Amino acid sequence: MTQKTIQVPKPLSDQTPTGGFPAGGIGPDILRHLADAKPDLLVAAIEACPVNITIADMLRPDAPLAYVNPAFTETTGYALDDVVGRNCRFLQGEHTDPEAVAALRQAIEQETSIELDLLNYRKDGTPFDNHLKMAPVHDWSGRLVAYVGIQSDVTAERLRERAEIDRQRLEALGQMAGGVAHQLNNLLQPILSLVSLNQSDMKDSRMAADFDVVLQSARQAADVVRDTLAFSKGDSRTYVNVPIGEVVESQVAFIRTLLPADVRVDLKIEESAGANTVRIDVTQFSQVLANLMINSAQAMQASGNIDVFVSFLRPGHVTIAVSDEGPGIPAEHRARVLEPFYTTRSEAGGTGLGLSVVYGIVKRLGGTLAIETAGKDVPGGGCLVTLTLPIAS
Amino acid sequence: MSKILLIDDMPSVRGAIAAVLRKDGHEVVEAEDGHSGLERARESRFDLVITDIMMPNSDGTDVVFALKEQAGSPPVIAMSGGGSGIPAETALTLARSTADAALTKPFENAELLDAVGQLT
Repeated sequence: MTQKTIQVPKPLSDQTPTGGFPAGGIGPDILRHLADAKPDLLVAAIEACPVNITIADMLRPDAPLAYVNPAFTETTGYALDDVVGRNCRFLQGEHTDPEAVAALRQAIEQETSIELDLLNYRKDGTPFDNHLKMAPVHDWSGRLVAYVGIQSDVTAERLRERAEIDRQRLEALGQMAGGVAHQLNNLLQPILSLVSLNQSDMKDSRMAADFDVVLQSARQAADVVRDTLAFSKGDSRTYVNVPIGEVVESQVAFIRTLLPADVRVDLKIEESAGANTVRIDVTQFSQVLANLMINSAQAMQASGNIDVFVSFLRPGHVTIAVSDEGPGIPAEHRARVLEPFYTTRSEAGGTGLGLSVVYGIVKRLGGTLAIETAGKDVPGGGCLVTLTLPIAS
Repeated sequence: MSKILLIDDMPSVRGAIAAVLRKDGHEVVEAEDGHSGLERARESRFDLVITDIMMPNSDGTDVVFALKEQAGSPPVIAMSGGGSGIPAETALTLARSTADAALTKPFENAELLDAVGQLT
């Protein structure tokens, strides 16, 4: 933060220039001249500035805006009449960082300059990252008369920066995944080898069934390890044509064994839909269903009903809907649930990869994914995830 | 029945694979790293060597190359669970050029016994 302030000099009305800009350039004193002699030129220059310029009147209560240039009205969508006379805090909104606002307020109280990023909102409610520089303007007697602000919409730049950070995190994850995969694959080997080895000697059929679950879980874990590596590298899969009803039925039966006892799963398959063939990697598809059902079970705090419904709603596609009785997704998280690494369960070990993996898989299969949540979309609460997959010819 | 040398640094992995092989009727000699594995291979004759290719003290791919350089060397199965730095496929491709078969961990008993059956 710099302490430099801008001072308006005393008028020099005896030195009025007669031509265009003075030959020696424009110093602060001559700028003053220019304001006297060629006010239109100065105004035109400010109006033509490709950055947003605001001037707040510090002599009036609540420091209302006295001036904004056309770049400002273009960025924000507000007309001059909408904003003049109002304090510029109307640009702030729900997710504006209160600490940045406090820093701004402190700078104004101390009559100092400040430069920061502030999340602002346009007239239509869309947010934008505003890179803001503000400086106090004092009159010749040292009295604070105005605050001049220069602002730029840096949303695209910040998005690029965030994408770059995410890319670096993915790269780091890819490297880490190699090490984790090595360890996990080695740990899974004795489980697979020894459980299968001893399963055939098992006399107790219940114990043999339990061992089956252990084996299937170990195989699924191996697939998850492979998928994590694939996610970080973009790997190839084995795609086969299978009837959707059959594959959903077998996978739901297995995933059910992984869910808490108080979670009931109700599977309905429309006859006309179940016989349709889709082209999928079965393991990957199972991961999609498992992610959705485990999310539902966690949202319901391990107790309630999950409905899985296979139907035929859209020509050329089958629809698989997974719904639950949980609280749904809070409004503030809805826009970001498909982003990699976005999680509200970091304390509980959530990586934020679940739904983004699901989305990535469904998209690669040529399908769609829609999330509707408690409120107007889903009467009676809960979350409804609908995915469609193209029918294989 | 074959005499098999099994090299892996993780006792649990070695133990599990040895158990599968023994139940199938094979005689198994275990070694915990590439160095001692090569020593065992020099001491006696084996029908088959199964070695991990990601181990401390000695890179398993070196073991595969060293074994293959010996006259009348037994067939070799290379195993890998992938690792930091070298992905499983890369390591296996390296090993495959000299090994006779490759397995990616975790593998099923049937895959292991199939590979053993084909090489002995």
